[in-house]
Amino acid sequence: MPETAAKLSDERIVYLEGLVRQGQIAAAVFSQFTQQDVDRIVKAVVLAGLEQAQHLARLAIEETRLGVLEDKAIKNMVATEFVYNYVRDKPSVGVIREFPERGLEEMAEPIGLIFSVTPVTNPTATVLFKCIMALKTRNAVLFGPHPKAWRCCREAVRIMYETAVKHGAPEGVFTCLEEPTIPDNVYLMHHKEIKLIDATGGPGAVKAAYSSGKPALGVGAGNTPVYLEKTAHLDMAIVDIITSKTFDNGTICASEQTVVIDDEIYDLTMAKFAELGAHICDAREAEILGRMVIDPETGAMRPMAVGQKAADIARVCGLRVKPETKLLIAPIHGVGPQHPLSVEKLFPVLAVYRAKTLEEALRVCVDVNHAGGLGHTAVVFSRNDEVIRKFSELINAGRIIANSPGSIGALGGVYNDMVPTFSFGCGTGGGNSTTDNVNLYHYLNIKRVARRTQAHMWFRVPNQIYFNMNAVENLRQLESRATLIVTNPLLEQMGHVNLVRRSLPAQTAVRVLAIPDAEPEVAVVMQGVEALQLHKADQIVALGGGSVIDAAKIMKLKYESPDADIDELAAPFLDIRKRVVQYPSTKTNVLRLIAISTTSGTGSEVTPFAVLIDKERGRKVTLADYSLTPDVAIVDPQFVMTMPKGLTADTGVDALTHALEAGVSIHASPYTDSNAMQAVRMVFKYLPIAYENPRDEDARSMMHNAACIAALAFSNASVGVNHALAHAFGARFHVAHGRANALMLPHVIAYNASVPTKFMPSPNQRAYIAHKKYAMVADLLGLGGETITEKVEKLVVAVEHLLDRLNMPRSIAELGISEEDFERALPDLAKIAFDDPSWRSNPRMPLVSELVDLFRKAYRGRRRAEPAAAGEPLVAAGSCV
Amino acid sequence: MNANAEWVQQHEGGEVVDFSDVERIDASGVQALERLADQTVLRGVNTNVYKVLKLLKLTPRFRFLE
Repeated sequence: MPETAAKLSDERIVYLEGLVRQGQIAAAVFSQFTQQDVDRIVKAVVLAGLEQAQHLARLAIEETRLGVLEDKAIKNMVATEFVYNYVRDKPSVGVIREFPERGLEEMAEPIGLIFSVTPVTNPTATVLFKCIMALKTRNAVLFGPHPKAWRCCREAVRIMYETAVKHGAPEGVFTCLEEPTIPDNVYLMHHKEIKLIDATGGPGAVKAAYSSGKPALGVGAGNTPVYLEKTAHLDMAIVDIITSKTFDNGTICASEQTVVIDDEIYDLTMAKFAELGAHICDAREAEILGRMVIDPETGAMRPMAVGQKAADIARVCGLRVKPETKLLIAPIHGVGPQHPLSVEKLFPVLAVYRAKTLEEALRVCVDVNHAGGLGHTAVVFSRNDEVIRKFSELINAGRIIANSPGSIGALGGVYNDMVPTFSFGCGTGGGNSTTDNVNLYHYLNIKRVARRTQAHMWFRVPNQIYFNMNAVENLRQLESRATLIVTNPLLEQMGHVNLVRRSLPAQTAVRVLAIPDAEPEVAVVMQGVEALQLHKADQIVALGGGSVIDAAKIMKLKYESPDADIDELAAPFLDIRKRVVQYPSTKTNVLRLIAISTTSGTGSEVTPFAVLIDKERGRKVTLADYSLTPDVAIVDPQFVMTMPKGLTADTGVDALTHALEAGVSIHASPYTDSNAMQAVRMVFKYLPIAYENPRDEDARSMMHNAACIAALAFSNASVGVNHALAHAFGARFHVAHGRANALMLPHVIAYNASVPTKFMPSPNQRAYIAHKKYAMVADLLGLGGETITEKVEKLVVAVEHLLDRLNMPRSIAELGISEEDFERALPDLAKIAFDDPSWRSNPRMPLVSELVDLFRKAYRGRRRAEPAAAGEPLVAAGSCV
Repeated sequence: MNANAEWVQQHEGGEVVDFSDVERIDASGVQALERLADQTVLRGVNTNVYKVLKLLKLTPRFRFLE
């Protein structure tokens, strides 16, 4: 407890503790009340406050000697009627807002006991306002009124309390300090049972509230600049300013302080002010006024002037004005200590500034705003929306009131649709936690009930897929004026290009670009783009393996959208729907991409991925977007009939890995499952045949289809940790991708089938099902086994038998890599694998240590199971297509 | 609360007060309970009343029976 509070007597502490305990019990009891209970009580107290508005205004005037009786009565009515109008239909108990389309609900939780500091300038209105807020939100309030206004506040609290309790509110819901002191405030602000401090008042009270370390709403001083721009409706503006600045003798902190007037209308404005009862000070009078009402040492207004009438202030200052003078207007020539009247003046003295230009006017308004008014209120009169917008951009104020009075405008609900309030949040500019007009939502803890939502999913594939022997002939029905065939030299030599050329419509002008059979470089892509431009192509046919098709995808991207920045498009992302970088949607050229695959593995002919080598920077760039997906895929086995055995095995295992990883992916769906499962069955049946009997047309055809079907699955469900491991290992030790996948696959299946150390967040899956999915694969293959564990083990063994049939190495050690070299590389491998985006859809989130473990297992390999004899089916009869 | 809460038989934890028919507790009810703290078992306290006792940090001072 701070030192100031230590000055309290034991008796006073007992008194304060009693008030706190009452409030604490009341707040707890209040938590049981329903919306109907609360609304009934609120309506009753609002009516009581309205009934007593004039009585309370009179008490406030008598006690504080500030302001105007009639205006104080109006304030009390606004604080009840207008505030009620705002809160009456607002739910404040239970569910207060619903967003069914987002699965969200907001629910109210009361705060508890609030310690509320109220000001001398608006004492009873602030009490009425806060009582209504508290009752609506089921909170209890202990009021700490300003020491010069505590009696009228006590009466306001009594009226509200008795009415509230009469209508069922908990006893003790409102209490009010008698003869409050600063030590009382300090003690209460630090009390552990006070849950929120709501300090409306001077900077001292607000600072103390925020310094207490408790949640606080502290709202305080302002210094409202007003820009009276030359297009403004002048008569309206002048009446508004006088109405506002004289309201309750200027005690509302949102009232106008300095009016900056355009040169063109300055003289007319002054004349109109004078006409309506303002006294325009000359230079001497302005100097006297500044000296008398502003303390030259502190630069702050003198309390003796606060809330006093203009004529009385003039009299005290020795100025001769008419007795009915409403407002003293003093010209100033700058802002700051040399211009004392440029600060906040809670009395009817208004500074005015003549501005030669818009820029000067805005600059002076900014100066006033920064001279004690940051975050509070500002006013602009103009019929030029651009001026209003520019002013609003420059000024830091929670309330920017356009073409209406500052004080009454800021209160809300009278001249505009802002929330009615008697507490103006001033944001960080004013050292506050909010810029809002404080309202019932600031008296609530708002709980968000977030229901599980299902992310939208998709299944996106090329528009057309032609498959089976001679499917290339379908090119004939695809009209094209100019086609570029992108391929590699070997395929050209083999006559495949001529086959494609012959299948194109007769009228199509054809050019061929043979590129190296390797992951494409930027220069190669740009060479293709140039060829497309020269040829004015409307179609590109990619004939080749993954590298050629990937190159063609990027050529198409750059041809259609020359400004596409490959570096930027390669930026990493977690969720394709929320990615930072968007692929171009506008196209300079339009090109049809037809992909004809000449290997049975990557599935690039249907995928939205492309890999590029950036030699200059020595890195690999992976692009992923559905706009990269070829428009047409041709899966014609005649192009793979001569694939070498090794390539058949490598690419075939890659296809199997795609299917198995898509099957257990967290993005798997019934759409991808159907493809993944079918692909697994086809690979198990036809890959050994295609490998052992390369001329078997049926096996080649089915394997070619299987690779494409697996790619349809992983294009939409993605892959997993197997690919992350294989990418890292393959790149480091120059091992073919399919072979690298094969080395990891049995270990990854076993890994994913066991209980994860860390689960992968996956809103679309209701349980961990990877092991069950593997078991399902085992069932589809007819592998047998009773339990899930047995089935998974049988699947692992079946995969190993398949790898054996394909003469695949079963351990990294078998590749001739020494254990020493491998161990030396291991930390880097694990790091690279962890950075690889492939595992982000893996069912199990891999720890780096687990990646290391998987690499080590792959190095050693599993104990060999009994190998299947050559020619013997790997899976049960009848289990495959 | 006073009208509805019913004293019942002695329980091993102390006197038992039956709250089964108590929908809400008011301030005087809370004060009455405070006097019975550390010696009383409360039976059938509904969740709303339980939360009031929780907010007032009174739950550790009672035993609760379903």
